[in-house]
Amino acid sequence: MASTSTSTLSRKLILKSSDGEKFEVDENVAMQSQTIKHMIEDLDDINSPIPVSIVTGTILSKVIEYCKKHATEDSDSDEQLKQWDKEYANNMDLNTLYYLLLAANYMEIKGLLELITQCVADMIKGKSPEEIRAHFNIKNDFTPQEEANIRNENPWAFEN
Amino acid sequence: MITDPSASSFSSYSETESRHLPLISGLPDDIALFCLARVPRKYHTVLKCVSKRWRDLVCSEEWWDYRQKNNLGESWIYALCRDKSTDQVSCYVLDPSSSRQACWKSICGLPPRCLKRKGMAFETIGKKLYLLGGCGWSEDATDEVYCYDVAMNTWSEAPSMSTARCYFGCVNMDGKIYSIGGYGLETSDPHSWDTYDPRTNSWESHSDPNIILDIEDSVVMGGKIYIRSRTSTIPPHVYIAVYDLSSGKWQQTDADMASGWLGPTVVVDDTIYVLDQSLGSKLMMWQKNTREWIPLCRLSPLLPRPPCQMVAIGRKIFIIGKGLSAVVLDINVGNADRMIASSSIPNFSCDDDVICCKCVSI
Repeated sequence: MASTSTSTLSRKLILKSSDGEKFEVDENVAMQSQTIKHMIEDLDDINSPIPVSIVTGTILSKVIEYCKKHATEDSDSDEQLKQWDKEYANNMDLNTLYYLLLAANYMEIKGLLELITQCVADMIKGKSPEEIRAHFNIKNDFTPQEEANIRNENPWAFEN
Repeated sequence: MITDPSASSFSSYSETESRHLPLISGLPDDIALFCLARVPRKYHTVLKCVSKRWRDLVCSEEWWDYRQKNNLGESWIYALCRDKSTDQVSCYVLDPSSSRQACWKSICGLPPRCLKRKGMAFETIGKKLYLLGGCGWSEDATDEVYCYDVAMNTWSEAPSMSTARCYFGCVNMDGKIYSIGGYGLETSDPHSWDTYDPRTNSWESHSDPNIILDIEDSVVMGGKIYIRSRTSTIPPHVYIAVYDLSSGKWQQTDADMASGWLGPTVVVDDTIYVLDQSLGSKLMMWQKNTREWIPLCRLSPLLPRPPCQMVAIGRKIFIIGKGLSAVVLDINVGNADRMIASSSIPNFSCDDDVICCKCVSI
């Protein structure tokens, strides 16, 4: 849409979370979500709150924090932005990360989805199968023999 | 026809109750896949140990597709070798990205019937490696094909070629394997070639008078397959035929290309490179527009001991020689001087001859 240009930068949108909390945000902040972008295109009255139906207020505020940071393109260098992303993701517990993933996926915010999926992937690197199971609360459904067989396939995969 | 066991052996788990557990509790499976698929390849064996569902995921086509489509694929090099002392073939894998000392690892479980064979072909489709044909001292050429699923780390039988072949041309073009010419049973057609389509899991047989028995090398470049005969010394002669997918025909190619194709080849960015070891070692490049071979650099002091094979990952050419010692050349095509930087992978504690090298990206 052409209307994302400077003339509309000051336009405000109201996002409404699943638990009824309302957030007033700049249009260019909200437009980082493809889902909201498409919703606005179909919207007659821009002043009515836009429901973000599966995202709670707590999580939505974190999503908005990310979008605000990434909406102001020229203020930070790439390096600073990466550092900010890293600290942003590292400050979340696992459950919050999951909710953020669900929100980023639903709201179609590519950058946030990539950031959090990579963050979860990074947690797995270098962990043993036992540590991974404990971290993600996964039940080991292998028999000891089955597990030993996989380990023996390529014993060198477990060297580090 | 033998069915591909990769499909059947794992399907039995689909009935078990663990199938219904989420990959990561708290996340839908598709989002769990987004996360897990970003774990680097060197940890995939560890992922396979976590649970049955994780193992099935890492071995699945879905996993491979997702990683390829999202540029997450990582190429490892697979080398088919022959141990001089035991005269048996073996297979090794190298993760060229490993930040510590890169090191070759042995792959176990090669089908025992292949171990003594010579003149086998080694080719790849997707995440599978194929060992095709070959012959032995006391064994005629065979039409057998074995398949190694890299993700599952299992060997299985694949459908046999339409005819027995050894010392033949073999390439992958557009996701199909082409087995071309070579020696086989005396009764078979000397001009035959086969194509294997993994989607139908079957071979189709063809014949063309331009196909020869004695093929030493084969390569795909720009949608065409080139096959090269062994060099006859007196008079010096190399026969090259080329197959054009668009016309579906084989043709003998001009002598200018044949003159420089004197060693192992690799194709990077649709350009063919040859390692010419006739007078010292040179890397030669085929210039398509002027139709001539151009020497790129001399490699003598760096080069691994022959016989060498070459393989490319992106614009890096790996020259792999006896004992799996390797040199890496970084070809910067954009640079006018064609600067080539090199690094080397240290000797591996074996004295095997390298028969063939392939890359598999997962």
